[in-house]
Amino acid sequence: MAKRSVIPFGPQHPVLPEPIHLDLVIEDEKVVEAVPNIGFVHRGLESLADKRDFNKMVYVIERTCGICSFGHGLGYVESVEHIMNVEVPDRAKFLRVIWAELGRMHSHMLWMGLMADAFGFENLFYACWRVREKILDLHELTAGGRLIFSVNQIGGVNKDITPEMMQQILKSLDEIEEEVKPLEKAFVNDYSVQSRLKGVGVLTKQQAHDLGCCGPFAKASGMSFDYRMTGYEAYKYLDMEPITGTNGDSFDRCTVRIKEVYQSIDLIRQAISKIPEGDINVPVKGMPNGEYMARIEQPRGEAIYYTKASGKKYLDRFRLRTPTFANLAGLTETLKGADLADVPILILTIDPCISCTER
Amino acid sequence: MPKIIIPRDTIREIKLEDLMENVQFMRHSRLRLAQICAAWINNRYELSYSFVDESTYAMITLRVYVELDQEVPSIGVFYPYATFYENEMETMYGVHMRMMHMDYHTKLYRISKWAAMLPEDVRQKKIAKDKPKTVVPGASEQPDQEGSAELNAIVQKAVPLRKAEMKAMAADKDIPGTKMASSVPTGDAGAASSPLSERAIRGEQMNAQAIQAPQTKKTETADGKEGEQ
Repeated sequence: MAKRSVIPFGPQHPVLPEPIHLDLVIEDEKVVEAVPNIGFVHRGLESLADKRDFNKMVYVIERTCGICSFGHGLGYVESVEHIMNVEVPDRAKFLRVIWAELGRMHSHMLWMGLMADAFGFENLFYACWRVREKILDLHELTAGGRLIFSVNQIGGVNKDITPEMMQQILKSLDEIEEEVKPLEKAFVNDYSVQSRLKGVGVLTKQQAHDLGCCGPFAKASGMSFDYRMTGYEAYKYLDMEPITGTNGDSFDRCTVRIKEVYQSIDLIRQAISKIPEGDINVPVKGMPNGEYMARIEQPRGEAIYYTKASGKKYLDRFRLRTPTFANLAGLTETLKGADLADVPILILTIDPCISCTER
Repeated sequence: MPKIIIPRDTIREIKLEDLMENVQFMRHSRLRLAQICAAWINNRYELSYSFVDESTYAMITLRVYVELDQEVPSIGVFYPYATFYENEMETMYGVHMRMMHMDYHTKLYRISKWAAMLPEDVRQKKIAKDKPKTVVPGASEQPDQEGSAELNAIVQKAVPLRKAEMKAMAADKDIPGTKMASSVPTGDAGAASSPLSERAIRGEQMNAQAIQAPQTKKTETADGKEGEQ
């Protein structure tokens, strides 16, 4: 029988954006099994729910993660608004959609850069992040911050996007679209990139369903499941279809995310053309009483925000279930039978946002 | 106006005895387990098992009320990835989970306070009744007493030893009486004398142990079955 050994991967590794530890049981360069170990960035943010005013809790939740920051604020605010029966004005809903889609574009560009870095293509890594800088400039123009900008509040948003800013956004989107096209060609048509991604870490549709995967990780295996189809916020006025892949390997996960970037550009253009005039927030009175599970489509998948309150200033319970937590099981399944050199690629295909996972 | 799907969310309260039956029904209806969440409200645990229907985007939540020291069976039989959520419940809230096929022994998040999200008085009552399942090797006897006197004593004793070890490594000499030199039973004491090669020997021994029992994190279940599926 071949000799088995246990290799520890992480938490510090040049290719990992955030610390995760995997104990890989390998047998002659092939991984037989993987045991994940998380908890290196655990900050105990949920236990602050009973020490912070429910209005001020938005700031804590937004700082769970830098990349998906707007989405977390949006999910929390949605769940509390549902409990308190607050009707947000339409203009605020469209503004939230614009920021959410900008966040999705920014997250996918960041992921593309990290993926290129994982297989050693550093030039492509920097080219992707240069495009990401344009998106961060849009963030700063409209909201005042690059990554974490507190625009969400219970009852709407607290900053407005003027028509001049919208023209600037449209101009920048045209430039971004022109710059993403050659990057897409580099990912899709390049021979060496294809030989590292095609056929690596295949997950069939049945397996993805059985393991509870979500987001672009599952969409690449053929599962057409996108929460934006339920029409939360202003998505009910916008036209879109979930993007799916066919083979379920790493190459498909790459192409799904690139196509989502184009889809986000299209959604922002639709939102800017349809946005109505009006208020951007409504005043909110009283205390929350009840429970609700809000779900939104984060760039990484389905995020669930469970809030329970009982009429006091502090919440009883707040629980954030992030998409990476759900994809960890899928990760351990794809690692079985993979080469040791493919392990960084496979970890990056789930788009791990470990600081979200272990708030 | 594009076509949208409006999901219907329901919360169903069930008893702990009916949990496995209901989860089996969810599995046969091809629902996906979305989350398992624990909360401590009104002096009891409230566990929420949420399932999502892929075609209608509906979310069905099973609500189970559990007492402080009641044992909860794992639903890993139907949903293998439920063990992550259950380990998190055990680590943060101290819910007693049984029959998990991937058991982190309350150390999914490596925090020294067990059941940190319970209120302090409830937590002390729980620790007095039952300590956590296992203790991380090397830590003090009760890992939830931060800054206890014995822990401080261990730390104080280790500091000069560590300084001597660094000095000896620089000079490449063996340090008599340290934990490293005495804990590694070297077969041929004459050959391996520098700390670096002792570490290599210890690595080999750890690998040898791993081959004999490769799943160090899995545990035997309550009825004696071998761990992971």
